[in-house]
Amino acid sequence: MKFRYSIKTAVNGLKTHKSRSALTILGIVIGITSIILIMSLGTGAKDLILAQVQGLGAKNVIVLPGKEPSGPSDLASLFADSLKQRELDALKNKNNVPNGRMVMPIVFGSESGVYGSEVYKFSLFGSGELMETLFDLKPEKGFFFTDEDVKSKASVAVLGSKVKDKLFGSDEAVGEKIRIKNTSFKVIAVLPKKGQSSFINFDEAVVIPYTTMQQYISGTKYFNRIVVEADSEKNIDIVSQDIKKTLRDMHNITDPSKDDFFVSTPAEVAEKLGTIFNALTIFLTAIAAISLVVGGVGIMNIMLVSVTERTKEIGLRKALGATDNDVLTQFLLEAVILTATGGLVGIILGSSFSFIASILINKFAGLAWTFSFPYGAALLGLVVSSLVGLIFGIYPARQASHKSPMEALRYE
Amino acid sequence: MNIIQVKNLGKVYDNDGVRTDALRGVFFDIKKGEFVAIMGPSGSGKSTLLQILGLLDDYTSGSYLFLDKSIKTYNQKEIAKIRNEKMGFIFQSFNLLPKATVLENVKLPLLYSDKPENEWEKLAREAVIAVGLEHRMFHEAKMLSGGEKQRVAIARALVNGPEVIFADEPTGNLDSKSGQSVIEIIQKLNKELGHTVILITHETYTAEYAERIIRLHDGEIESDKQVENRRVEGKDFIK
Repeated sequence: MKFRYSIKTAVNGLKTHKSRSALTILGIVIGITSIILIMSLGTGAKDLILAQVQGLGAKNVIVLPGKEPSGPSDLASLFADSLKQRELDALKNKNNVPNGRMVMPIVFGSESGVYGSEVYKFSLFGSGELMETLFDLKPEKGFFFTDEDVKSKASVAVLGSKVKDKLFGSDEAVGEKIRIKNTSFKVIAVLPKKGQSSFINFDEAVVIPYTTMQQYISGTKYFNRIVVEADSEKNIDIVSQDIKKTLRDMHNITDPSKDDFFVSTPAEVAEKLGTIFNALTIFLTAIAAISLVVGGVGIMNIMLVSVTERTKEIGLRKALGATDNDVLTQFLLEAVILTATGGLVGIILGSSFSFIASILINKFAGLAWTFSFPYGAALLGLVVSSLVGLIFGIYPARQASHKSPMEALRYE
Repeated sequence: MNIIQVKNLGKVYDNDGVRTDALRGVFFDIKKGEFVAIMGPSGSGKSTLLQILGLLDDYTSGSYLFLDKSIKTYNQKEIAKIRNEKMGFIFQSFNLLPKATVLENVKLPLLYSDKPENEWEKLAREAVIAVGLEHRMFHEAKMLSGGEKQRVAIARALVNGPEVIFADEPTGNLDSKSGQSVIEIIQKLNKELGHTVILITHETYTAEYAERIIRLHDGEIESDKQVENRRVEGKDFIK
């Protein structure tokens, strides 16, 4: 029998039992839907995180004190004191880092602010005046603190929008005074609502000059970060190398594994996060793939029932001239068409759910989540679902093809 | 010319060690163009004989030549081809695909044949017309009456131009009126179109439409005689 007619016969066979066919492929549909959904959402999450890393400033090289953290529980860097004024000055020196354009230290901690009877806990950042440019923190009201404020250790504060709302409500904040750790700060600016646009949520932050922070709040001499902006994106690696060399020279380090600091570039962070996300996606996909095996067993089960139920039809076809191969092909094709259809439906459902999720995340979480159709996953889904049909269909199809026509015809 | 030559044919069923002789020492020849009825009570082995002749089942001993060639020399594929091209089957329970149309049912053997596709439609239509069902061409098989169903089955047996038509109790599931019309069509296939017909029945009335009756009893031939007063319907039933 010509292959075209084998397909036609198989399709007709499936059409004859529409609702059973639909129920049979449910397992495959669910399996492929979840795979597509996971892979699509995984890609979306990865893109989002990468965009946030980029949001830290694609040209910013960040120097952290202490060793490169080996895990999320590695808190040592919070207390390391290898970055001080001396190191800051060295990095500012154009002879050391010729491609560094702006250099700025950051000190941070968690503090409470008091205004009248209102108390609110926020992240306190002590930084240079360049913070405004480096992190794109143009105030909605008032003006960011200046170089002068930093030098004079002025008690001025820039409030994130949520901090302002919590302490002042709808009242005017600029010009008022708040107390942080027994020091009175004059509010000179309020930041616009930014949302969780990068790893730092500036809505819940207060920014003050780092000199003021060291003097009145933390009482320490060291910095938590030094941000160096490269003059262009392509010079990031050069800047990173120059920083390492400068600091190693200063600290007399010859063995890079003994570094008491750590330089991070957005690209490196992006790469690491990308690896983590890929691993997570593969893991979840593997779990979803189990449902495909379950679906496949379901297909095999139903195909076996179908073969038994259609024993007479098989006998008839053989009596009319169908070879064993014709019968085998017919039932195998039925299984493959069934699962491939399930795969197709799963791809459509999975991408639709992923698309809806992207809209909901955008709307309710305020994240810049992008939907991308997972072409690779779709192709994989189609191939895998067809393979499931082939693998789990072969046994029932062989059962069908080996039926003796006489016994099949006699079957009631 | 003999289409079928059976010599000392035997068939033993082995059900978990219990051996039953379904056929023993059966000899006969069937000539091209003959209309032979095989009769016998149930359990006499007539269905087994038909299944062996129709290559639906294997025999245990003896020999069976179809068109002068032992069927033992054919492989599974060749046997499927002979069933498709040289044989037509009519069953007691019709065995139509219930959700397919009359035309599709009749086309079914052509799907497995080597006949060119552009002839399929024409051949199938001709066969449907030959059994007088042109007004039912596009009806689903399950919508038809018993007599009509059996006529579709006859058209299906006919469509590929077979050498032999095997009919296994074709009137067994029909009322006497449609049964008679079916047996008359079968007789016409033999008399006017020259098909060899082998009919299985337990009704003497039906068997007398044939030219020759082979009677089986307990797996052995009891008698093999020409019909003396052959029943022939005078009126035309093929339009």
